[in-house]
Amino acid sequence: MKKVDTYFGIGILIFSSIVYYITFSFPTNNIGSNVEVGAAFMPRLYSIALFALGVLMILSDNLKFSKSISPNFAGISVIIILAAISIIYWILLPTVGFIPLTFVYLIIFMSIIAKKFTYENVLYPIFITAAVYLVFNLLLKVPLPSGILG
Amino acid sequence: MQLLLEGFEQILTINNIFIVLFGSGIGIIIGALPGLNASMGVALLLPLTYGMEPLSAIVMLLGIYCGAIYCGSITAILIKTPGTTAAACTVYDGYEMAQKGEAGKALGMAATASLIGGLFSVIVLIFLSPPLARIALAFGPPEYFALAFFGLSIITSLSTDNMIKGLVSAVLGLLLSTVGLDILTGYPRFTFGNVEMLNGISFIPVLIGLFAVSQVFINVEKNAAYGEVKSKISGMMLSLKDVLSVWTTILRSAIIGTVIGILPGAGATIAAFIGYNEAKRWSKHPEKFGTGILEGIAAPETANNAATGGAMVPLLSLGIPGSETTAVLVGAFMIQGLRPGPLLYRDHPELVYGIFAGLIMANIAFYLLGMFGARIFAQVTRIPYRILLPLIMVFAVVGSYAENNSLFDILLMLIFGIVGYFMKKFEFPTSPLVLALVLGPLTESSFRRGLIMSQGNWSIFIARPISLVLIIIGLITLISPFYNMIKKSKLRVTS
Repeated sequence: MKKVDTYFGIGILIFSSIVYYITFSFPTNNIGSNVEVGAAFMPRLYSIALFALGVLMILSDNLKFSKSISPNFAGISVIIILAAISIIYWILLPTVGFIPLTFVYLIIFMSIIAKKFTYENVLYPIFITAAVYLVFNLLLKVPLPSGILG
Repeated sequence: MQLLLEGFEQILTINNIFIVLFGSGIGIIIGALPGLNASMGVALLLPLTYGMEPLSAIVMLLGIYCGAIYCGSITAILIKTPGTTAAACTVYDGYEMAQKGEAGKALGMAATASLIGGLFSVIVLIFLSPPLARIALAFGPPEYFALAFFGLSIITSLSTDNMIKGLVSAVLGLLLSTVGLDILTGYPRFTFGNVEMLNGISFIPVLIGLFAVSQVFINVEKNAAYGEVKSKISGMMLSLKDVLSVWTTILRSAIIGTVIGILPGAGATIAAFIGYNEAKRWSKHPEKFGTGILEGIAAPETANNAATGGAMVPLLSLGIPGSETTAVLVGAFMIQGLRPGPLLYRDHPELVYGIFAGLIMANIAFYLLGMFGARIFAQVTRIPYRILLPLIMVFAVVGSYAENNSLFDILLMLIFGIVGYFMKKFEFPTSPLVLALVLGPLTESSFRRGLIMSQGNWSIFIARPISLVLIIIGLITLISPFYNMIKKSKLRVTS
C-alpha cells in the first residue's frame, strides 16, 4: 500500500486542526498567573504537537526515512462481523441482560471462529456463562449488567 | 528490616499464600499461551480484585505478572513458540536443547534463572525505592512535570522503527487524558454534552480494549494455530553445577534486567534481548549460542524476570509505571483507592513492605509451580482458540463494566479494541498511548501548577536542579533516536 503514512499524516493534520479549533470554545483563565493556563492550554499544546508530527510523518514517508508498510487485511471481513456482533451485544445488554445475551453471543462468536456450528458451540457457552456468573457475581460480588431476562 | 518482617507477617497467612499461588498459577497459564501476555492477563483479571484487601489484590496481580513473564519460556522451549515476547530469545537455545532430549534441563534452567533474576530485582527494589520515595516527597510541581516528561520521552524513543508513530500514539494518549472535567477549573472538555464523559476516559476499559480485545481480533484474523507438546519432559534435571557454570551470565543479566526494568517504558522484552546479546558478546564461545546451551536460556530468562522487580521501583517510589504491565497495575491501586508513589510510602508503609514480601513469595511460587508443574501447564496450549478467544471477550466485558457499573465503559472497551486492532495493523505502537493516558493527568496538572507558582515564568522548570536534570535527559532521549535515524539513512545513501 503506497504512501499509507502520508494519508495518516494528512488525517492527523486535519484531526489536530479540529481539536485546536474546538479549544476556542473553552473559557480562558489565568488562575492567578500572568499567562493563560486555563482549560484550553494543554489541549492546544497537544494539538500543535500532533500537527507537527503529522507534518513529520508526511515528510518521513516521502523522503523515505521510514519503511513503507503493507498491512494484510485478508481476514478483515471476519473482524468486521465480530466487531459488529459485539456492538449489537452492547446495544442489547441493558434490555436483555448479561446471562442470556452472553450465552447467545458466545455461541455466535465460537461458530464464526470455528466456521461451523456444532454441539460444542452450545455446550462450552453454557459452562462459560455459568462459570463467569458464579465466580464474578456470586463469589466475588462483581456486578454484571442486568436486563429484563437476567 | 522491621517493616519488611511485618510485611512477611502480613503475607504469610493461609489466605495470602493461596492468593499468591493462585496468581502465579494463572500467570503461568497466561504466559504459556501464545497470543496472551502479562499485561493482558493483569488487565483481564483486575475485576477479580474488587472485593479483595489491597495487599491481597496487588500481590495476586504481581503473581500473574511474574508467572506470565517466566512461563513464556515453557512453550518457547517445548514448541518453539514463545508464550510471551519476553521469551522470544529463549527459543534459540531452549528449543534446540529440547530437540536434543534435554527439555527437562532447559525448563529447569529457565525456572531457576527466572527465580534468581526476580529475587535479585526485589532486593534492589527493597533498598532503592524507599530512599527514592523520600527524595520524591520533596518534589514540587516542576519536578513532577519533569519526571512525567522523562517517563514519556523514554516510552516513545523505544518505539524503534516507528518513532514518529510512537510519538503520535503518545500525544493522542495525552489528548485523551484531557477529556472530562478540567482538574484546575472544573470546565468540561471534549465531553460533547455526554454526562458519562465528565469523569474522563476510564483507564481500564481503554487498557482492556487496546491490549486484550485487539489481540483477540489479531488472533482471529491469523487463524492462530496452537502447537501440541511433543517433547518428553522427564523431570527437571538441572544440577547445582549447571547453575554455577553460568553464574556470571546470571549475575550480569540480573543487573541488566533490573536496570532496564527501572527505566520507565522499558520492560521484560527489551531486558531479555539485551541480556541475551550481552551474554553472547561476553561469552568465550559466542558461536555456540543458538545451538542449545544453558547460557542461551539463563541470560534472557534472568533478565526478563529481573525487569519485573525493576519496573516496580519507579512505580512504587515515584508513581511512574516502569513497564506496560505496571501501567496496568496503576489501575489495581486505583480500584483500591490508592495512588502509587511517595505518598504511599508515607501513608501506607505496611502495604509497601507487604508488596515487597509478596513479590518474593510470587517469585518462589512460580518457581515451585514451574519446577513441578511444567508438564501440566504445557498442556494449556491444547485449548482451542475458538474457546479461549470468546472467553477473553467475556472477561473483557465484565472487567470494563465492573469499575463504574457503566455500559458506556463496555462501549469504550469495544471502540478501543477496534482502534487497537488498526493501530497494530498500521504499526502504531499501543503502549505509548496507554502510558501517556496514565501520565497525562500528572503531566498537565504539574505543568500548569508550575506556571501558576512562577507567575507564568517558564524558567521554573529549568531553574530547579532535579527538574533541569530530568528535562535534559528527557530531551536527549527524545532527540537521539531521530539523530540516529538520520545518521543511518545518510550511511545508506553513501553506501
